[in-house]
Amino acid sequence: MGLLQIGGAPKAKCAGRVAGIDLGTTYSLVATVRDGSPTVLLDDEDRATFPSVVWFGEGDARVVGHDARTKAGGGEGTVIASAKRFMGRAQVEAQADDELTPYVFSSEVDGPVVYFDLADGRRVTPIEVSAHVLAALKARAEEQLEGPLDGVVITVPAYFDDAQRQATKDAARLAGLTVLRLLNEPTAAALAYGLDQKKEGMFAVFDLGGGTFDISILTLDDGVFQVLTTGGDSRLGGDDFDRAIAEHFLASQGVEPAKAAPDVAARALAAARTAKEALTEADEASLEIEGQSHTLTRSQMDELILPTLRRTEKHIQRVLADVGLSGDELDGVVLVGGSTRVPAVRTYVEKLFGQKPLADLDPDRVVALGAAVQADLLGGEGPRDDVLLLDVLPLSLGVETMGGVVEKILHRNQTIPATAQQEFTTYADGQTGMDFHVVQGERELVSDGRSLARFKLSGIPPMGAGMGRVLVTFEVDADGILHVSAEEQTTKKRASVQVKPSYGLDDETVERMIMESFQFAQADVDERLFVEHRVEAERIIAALTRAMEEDGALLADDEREALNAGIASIEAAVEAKNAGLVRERVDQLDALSADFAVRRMNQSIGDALRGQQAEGLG
Amino acid sequence: MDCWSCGAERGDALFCTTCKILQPESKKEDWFAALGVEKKFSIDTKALAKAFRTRSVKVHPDRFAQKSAVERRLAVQHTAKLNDAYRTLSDPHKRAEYLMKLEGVEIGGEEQRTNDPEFLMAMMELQEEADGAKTAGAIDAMLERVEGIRTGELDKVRAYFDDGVGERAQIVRALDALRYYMRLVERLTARREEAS
Repeated sequence: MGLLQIGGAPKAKCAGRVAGIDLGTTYSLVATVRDGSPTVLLDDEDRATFPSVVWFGEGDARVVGHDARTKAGGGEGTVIASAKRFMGRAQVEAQADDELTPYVFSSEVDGPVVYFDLADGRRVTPIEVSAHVLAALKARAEEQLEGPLDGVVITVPAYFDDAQRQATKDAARLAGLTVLRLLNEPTAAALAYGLDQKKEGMFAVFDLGGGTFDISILTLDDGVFQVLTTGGDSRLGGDDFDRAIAEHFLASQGVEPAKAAPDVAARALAAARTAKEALTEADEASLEIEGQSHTLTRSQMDELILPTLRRTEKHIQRVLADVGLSGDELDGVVLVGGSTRVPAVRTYVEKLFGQKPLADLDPDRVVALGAAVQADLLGGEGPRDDVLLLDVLPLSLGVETMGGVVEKILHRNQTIPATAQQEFTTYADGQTGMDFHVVQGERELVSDGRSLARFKLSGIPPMGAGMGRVLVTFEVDADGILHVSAEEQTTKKRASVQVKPSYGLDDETVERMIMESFQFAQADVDERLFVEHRVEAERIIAALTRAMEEDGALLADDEREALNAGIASIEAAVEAKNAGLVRERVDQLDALSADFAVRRMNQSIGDALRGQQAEGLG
Repeated sequence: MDCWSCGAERGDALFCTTCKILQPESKKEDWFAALGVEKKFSIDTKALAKAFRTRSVKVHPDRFAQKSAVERRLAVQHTAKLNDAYRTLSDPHKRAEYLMKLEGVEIGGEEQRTNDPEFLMAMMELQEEADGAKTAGAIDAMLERVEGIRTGELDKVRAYFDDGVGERAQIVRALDALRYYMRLVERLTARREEAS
């Protein structure tokens, strides 16, 4: 927003009550820093982990966590687990998985978001399911910290793409949380681990959770945690171990796994998980699947999960190649994620890296602890200044060019925040708009990569063909999310940028979900939305008024009149308590004042900033 | 230079000496200066990494999370520049291209692109050979060969910058060729991953 850049809000971020949330595929945790050290918050029964499971019953009936899990595989309502696996994916992608699944994907909707069918005919997205989990953790934290949370750091797999990150942020918004930062899980773990063990050197973090796998290599040097490279698979984890075991026994009973009914699948998967967990200690476990008893030995399980485990190897080889080292040259390999409790995983890691992995900290908790530390760094009272995290972009970003070829603009493993600029020239007389398509991934052809979004530029001043030179700035923020802005170089006029994300929910839908009484009564929702917009409006009006007083000379008379009219129209909308209208008019005023903001910024900060824009970063 | 926030004279300092507020980056500063290392080809990469981290600690947006919007914006700009500078200077090929750029020669620009038929023919042959390598073993052998050629070209570049050996035009062509090899390696690596 232009106005915010000219210094409207002196302190936009919070200072105070903050927490770190590990939003996991199977389990989630919340932690906070107390008396200088990170601590996981426990529930009434002293449990740290909270199953990422939601049960939906009739109407508003809903159960989250441990109690929801016990409802899996039968009875009324619908249980949704492992929603994280479907974040940022499209319906068609989820349905294409030919595997044993406890979900009923909605067949009615086809779109850029996955929908699950509930027993009573309603539909929910994984974003909403995650939001219910987040809301429960929020409640736990607020009860124990005795007051509302000012902000949270939420962890995501390092290999999450833009859409998956955005979906996580949307879930947080639905849960009423302010996100200070999305933090990569292996990085969070390294932070907690490094601070706890006071280690220095070069480390790999092997993070195998319920549904995602990450491998990162970092250097720890004098309080700076610098990620050098990251790789992984956001659909590879302990869930796949369970599935391999369940499919094996179902097949032995003559059931074709991909055709198993959802409730049969849910029960078989639950039995497989229990057996897998028992085999961490025992050599043999028994499990019952659809009325038949089976025995599973540890070596039999090792054999069943080996194909899944082997899928980690190419990612490990790739990150080692990135740093040009072999596994045994690293100073250590840290194990993170519940699935690293499986003895076969530890043996496998030891063999691949040629050294015994480190597991001094609880692999279930270490990510949440790191998130708490980062939350404290960003939003805590009197945060420490001896620690800094430098993370990287996991997947290259490129623009589609002629012939469906990707031209890379930002590269994988580039430290974020990162910016790149590229100039596009108009090709028609009087052309005022321009479209481009951003793709993520390492492949050369657009058709092999994954679409991120289509951007539509408008408001380019009409000029002769080839005369309009539009400088597009791509900026990936510290959350790993892309932002795009554009300016025509001859007239220095900013183009407006419309984004059409290829996956996920658009802003209006998220807002509607909040409206549709996500966790609030309808009246609360309206009130909350209105207050959100009113506060924003007041801030913008105050900033603009001050700016006009200070630098009125930069405005032509008609411009000043237009801005005043804009302010009056917002005030009228506030008076009328119309949240939607306030928002719309704030957006209009923001667009209207963008040029003024730029002029003012250039004047007040001197031409140095402009120099940075014009000079380019190539 | 005056401080954008309090108006006091601040010199070239990163933070205003009067009000201690973060200042805009200097546009005159090249990337060697931004990282505080000597401007030359052969540099101590460990010292470069250290300089990058020390400087990041001062200007990273995380340090300004609770500061004003302008300071947060400036922190992002400083950090993006540092990140770019470090990425460029820590890689010998990119570092050489940047040194050329400071001398006014843009590698990969239209006017620099070679049309020497002999060179283009050699590249095409190499490309064809690479396309022909289908098995993991063949791709590995090809990768090793291209790496060998790359090292040879980089040695020429080093000799030019460090000891003044060779003509600039030759080095510009070597750098141009290195771009081809780099793309070739990228492509081969991607195919190597698919093959395994």
